[in-house]
Amino acid sequence: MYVHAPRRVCAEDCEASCVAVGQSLNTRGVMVCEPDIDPSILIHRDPRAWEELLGWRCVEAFLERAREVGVRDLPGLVDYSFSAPSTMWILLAGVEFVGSYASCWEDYVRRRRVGMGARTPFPRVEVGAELDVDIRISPAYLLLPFDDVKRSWQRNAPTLVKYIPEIPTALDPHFYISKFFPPQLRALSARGYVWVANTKSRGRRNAPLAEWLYWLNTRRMPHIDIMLGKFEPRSPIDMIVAKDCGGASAGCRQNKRRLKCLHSAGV
Amino acid sequence: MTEATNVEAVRRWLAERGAVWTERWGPPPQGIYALRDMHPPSHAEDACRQGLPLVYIAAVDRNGLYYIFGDVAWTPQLEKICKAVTFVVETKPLREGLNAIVKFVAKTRHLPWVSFRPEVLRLAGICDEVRIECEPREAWKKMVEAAKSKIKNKTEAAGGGRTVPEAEEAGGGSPEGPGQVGAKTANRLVYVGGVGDGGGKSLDHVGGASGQILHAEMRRDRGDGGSGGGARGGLDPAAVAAVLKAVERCLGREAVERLTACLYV
Repeated sequence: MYVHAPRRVCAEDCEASCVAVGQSLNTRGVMVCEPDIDPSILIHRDPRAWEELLGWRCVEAFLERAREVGVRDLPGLVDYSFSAPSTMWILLAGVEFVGSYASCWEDYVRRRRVGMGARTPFPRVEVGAELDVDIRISPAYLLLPFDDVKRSWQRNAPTLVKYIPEIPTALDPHFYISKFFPPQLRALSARGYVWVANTKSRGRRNAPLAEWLYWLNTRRMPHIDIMLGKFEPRSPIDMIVAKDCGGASAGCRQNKRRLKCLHSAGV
Repeated sequence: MTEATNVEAVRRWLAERGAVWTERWGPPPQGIYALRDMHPPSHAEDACRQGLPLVYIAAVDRNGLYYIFGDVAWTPQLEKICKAVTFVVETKPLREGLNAIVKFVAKTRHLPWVSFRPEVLRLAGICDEVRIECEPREAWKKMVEAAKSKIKNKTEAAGGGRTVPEAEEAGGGSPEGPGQVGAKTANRLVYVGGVGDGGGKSLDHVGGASGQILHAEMRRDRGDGGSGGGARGGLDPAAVAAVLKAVERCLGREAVERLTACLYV
């Protein structure tokens, strides 16, 4: 395990949140992790992003738990998480989170709550197109067991549920959703994710649909790729994201970040 | 689990398995219920009035998280009329421990895998053993539809006096182009169908995400010239072998034996 000589930050009599620098355990022996990203990284299939945004302390803490189900290393952990996102709240139950994203992770792991909306701060562009689609849920919602949030899927992503009524959140959701996702919607990604995000459906922007398309095409979450400068544009209009929204982080506090991105994009 | 005999059965099984466990007379702890659709508490009342205890197995992992196996979700209203016994079993490592308990409960309660929460099945490694059981129903429906149409096509082809491989080669049921015929024989699983495409589109199965087994297609070297011939009732032996191989992979050895017995007896 990942325990080094401790250099105490807090006093000996500090409470449970006391963390020793250089340790992955707190005073109660609970694994501690300080992520720089929201839990949607669990469906982001890029081990380097995990290293970079979670750091080895989190990765070690996660691995410590995942070894119980046969996971050996970081790529194995990324694969397991990607293929069984809704099991991760169980696997991470023993991990303690600290830092600015702690509340997002605590919400997910302890209270089984994940924000439904899109994470990605797609810039606003007038595209003048309307789509007959109703998907208001981000792929990040796959982190919750489908049985527990079935009604939310039915209400907020009827287009998706129509094609795949039972979303297999514990078994390769990417594989099955790719198979059953309406091809006519999938084809829209050729026009650019920003274009899709700025189309309207019943007065709403289709940012969640753009996230789904990006995730289906790349197996990665767009907001994380944007943070790391790895966003893959599909058309010239997507260059706005790469140019102006790079570095804008995303997570639980989406609105604040969206404004930041819009401001910097000047649109 | 409501029968008194089950208490003894659980004790015996745990002892045989050499598990670390404690038996507590009382309701189960807070945790994740492993069964998907549990009986409402009212269903347990009759058994409780007869004095039978509700039996729970609570698998506990190293972080103190409980995975509860039982027929009825415990509620305070049951406290007055029911007695309960909880076997708290240590699961180290989690996967093996859960796997054994899930199988024990499925076997003793005659439950199909679909009765369990997918998350628990996945953590227990059941989905790796019998992947098809964890797949979404939509995938099953498509498999059944595609299998039906395939059988229909084959029946029609056989009715026309052709063997199955010949019919496939000639009939265009295969998604392969002629240029892909390679090795002497290559058994290949093909997914047929898909939402919105009318079932006519064929997609190759990728990445080991299996289960969508509709038929095991047998390709042969065009140079071997053999007609294949049906071993029994027009079935091509190589095709049968491929199907059996696929069945073994997806459903286990037992299913193969049963299918073989059914085909050849």
